[in-house]
Amino acid sequence: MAAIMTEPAVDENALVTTAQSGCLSSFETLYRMHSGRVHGLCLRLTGNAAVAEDATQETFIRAWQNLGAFRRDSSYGSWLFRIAVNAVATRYRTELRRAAWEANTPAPPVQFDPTLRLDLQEAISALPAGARAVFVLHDVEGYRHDEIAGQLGVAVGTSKAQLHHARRLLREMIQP
Amino acid sequence: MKCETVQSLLDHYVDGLLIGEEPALVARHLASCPDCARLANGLREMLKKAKALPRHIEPRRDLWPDIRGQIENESKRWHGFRYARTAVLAIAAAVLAILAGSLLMRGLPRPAETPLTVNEAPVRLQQEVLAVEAEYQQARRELVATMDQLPNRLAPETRTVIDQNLAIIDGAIQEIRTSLEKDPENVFLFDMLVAEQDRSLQLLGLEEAITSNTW
Amino acid sequence: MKRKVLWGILLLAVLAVVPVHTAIPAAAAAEKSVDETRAVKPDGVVQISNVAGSVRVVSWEKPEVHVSGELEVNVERVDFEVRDGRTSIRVVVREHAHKNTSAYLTVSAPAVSSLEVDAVSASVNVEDASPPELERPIRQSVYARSVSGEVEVNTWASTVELKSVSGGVSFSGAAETLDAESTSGDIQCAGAHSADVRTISGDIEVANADSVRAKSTSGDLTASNIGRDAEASSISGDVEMTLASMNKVSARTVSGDVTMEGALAPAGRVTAGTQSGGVTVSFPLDVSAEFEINTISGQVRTGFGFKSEGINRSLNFALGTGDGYVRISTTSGDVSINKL
Repeated sequence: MAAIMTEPAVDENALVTTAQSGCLSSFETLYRMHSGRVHGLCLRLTGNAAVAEDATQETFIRAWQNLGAFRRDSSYGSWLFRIAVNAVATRYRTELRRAAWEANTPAPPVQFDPTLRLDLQEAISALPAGARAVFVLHDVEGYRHDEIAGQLGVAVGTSKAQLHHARRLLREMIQP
Repeated sequence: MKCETVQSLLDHYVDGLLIGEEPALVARHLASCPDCARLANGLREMLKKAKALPRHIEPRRDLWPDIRGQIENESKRWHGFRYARTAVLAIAAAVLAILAGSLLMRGLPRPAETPLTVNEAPVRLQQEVLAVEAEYQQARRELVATMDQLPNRLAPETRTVIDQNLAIIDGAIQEIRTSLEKDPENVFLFDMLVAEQDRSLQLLGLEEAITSNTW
Repeated sequence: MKRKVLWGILLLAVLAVVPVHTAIPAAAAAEKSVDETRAVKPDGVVQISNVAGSVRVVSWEKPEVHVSGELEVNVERVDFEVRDGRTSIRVVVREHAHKNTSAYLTVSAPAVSSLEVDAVSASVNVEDASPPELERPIRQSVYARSVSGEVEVNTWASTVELKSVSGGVSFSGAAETLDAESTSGDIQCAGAHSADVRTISGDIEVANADSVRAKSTSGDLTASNIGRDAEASSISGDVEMTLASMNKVSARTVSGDVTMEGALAPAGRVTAGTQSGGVTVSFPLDVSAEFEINTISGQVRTGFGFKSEGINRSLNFALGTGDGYVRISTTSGDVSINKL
């Protein structure tokens, strides 16, 4: 796993255990400990604050519902991350399919004004969803291609190709 | 090495994924080509910035109240339910429903949404079907390629069951496609098509999911 | 002398060829067993994982977990550990062994512990035989899955989640929410308040739920005695539903038949759609709803005195004060609306 999450403090394990037995206040503490990172990830993956907040909520609700299935073969933070990436990926798979014909849902933005010089964060938000997801997971969060492929449900080659595509687009947007 | 080649290898070079002589060949080219060197440095700079981007971003507002609200909504039902009056309650609810149903309540507003008749969908649906099909075929190819690379970890009988059911879903997708040809604006068929495509992709990934405990 | 040597050589040659164990009486295969008890918090989690054989869970009132059973030769051991309210029972088989790896376990667990059972080919049976007394707490969650084994759960719990790939799944007892999934196995469940059930080719039978969502690709779906809401979809399987009161009901197939019956709730909405399957809906005489029936080439028959003719048969009428809403669409399937 990407070595970004710091080693969980000893009390995190205890919090997870009590949360698993139904203690909501332990779960709230865990929420406070991880909400910044989870939301940060969702925001970068989606480029949209409202969607990121929805995805963050969905992540923690699903985490609560599936706490019983958390096997501790990874850290709690990594497990939350898997759920978050999953939540975003599922949402985009469905939305990208229906976006064009459901008039009230705008399709994700792909066009950008080539005369504008964007800073890196703006440029990342302007990437197409698939390229953005791979870029964020690889170059911001530090995951490997095989991990990204497994999470997003694509082949490793696709992950590499999307990364290449993302970096090229980003370079054009930052320094046209 | 030509500039074109080096530029196409730059990503892998910077990620340390080149092997054999390639890293040395690229390095040598970069040492003598200011254009390519600039690109490489630009890429490295961008990646450095990307790694340094703040990853901890608090949401604009505290989401906990909403999260707790949703959790407690389910809990409320749980707590009412945690005590085993369920069977009794279920039967009582059914009886009440029958009684309520037969007491006609007058003056209720009509359903809010205008029902969409089968043939009212915009013509764009045909294009959406094509787009969705193309994306599904691509995703399926990629998944099959990934699965082929994995060692075989399921029992042969289970593998057979999965293959048989993949064939069943394929048959169903074919059935829906045939129906869509006769009724191309049918929104319900489109929905069902997308749903079956999703189930097929899920089934393809089932082996990986089972072995990683996420099924 | 020479002859004896010759016979000796012959005997040695024969013995060398004949497998040793026909010459030595076979030792009984060394079978092991397990019989251990640990003290636990009654409302913790009991997690069991097994590869082959069977897992049977029964409940009792003691604050203890007891594991007993027979283990085949290639089962190395059963790890049994209690930590922080979580009891974990894990069957460990000899590496690379493919045969004789079965463990047949019976686990007695406190009646309010949550359960998590994970099996590969082992069957899973949870038998909380008698309902707990009223006003006593029940299990918070029961989670059971087996890749190819049968999953049969009889329990009283808030949340139940059951899965199998090729095994059948069955649930009885009571649960607030039930989530059940099998790829090819059949699923039966009775007693969930709200059920979400899915198969690809297995058949689904849900009874006595308040609301149900059932989905299959080719399996048949039967929902009986449903309280208010039902959503069923199968591509080629048939859908049959009976409800106490149809509040929000939808049934969809491509080629399967749809049969529904029940009273319509006030402001209830019922939709049924097929391509070539037939649709039969039966309501009581005093049903009050707006009806919208569309079919391209199917026949439409109603027991309420309406008829439609011609191609693109479209029939709109209202019964009673038109409170509810019923919409039925087919392409070539026939439509019948009957009186109960």
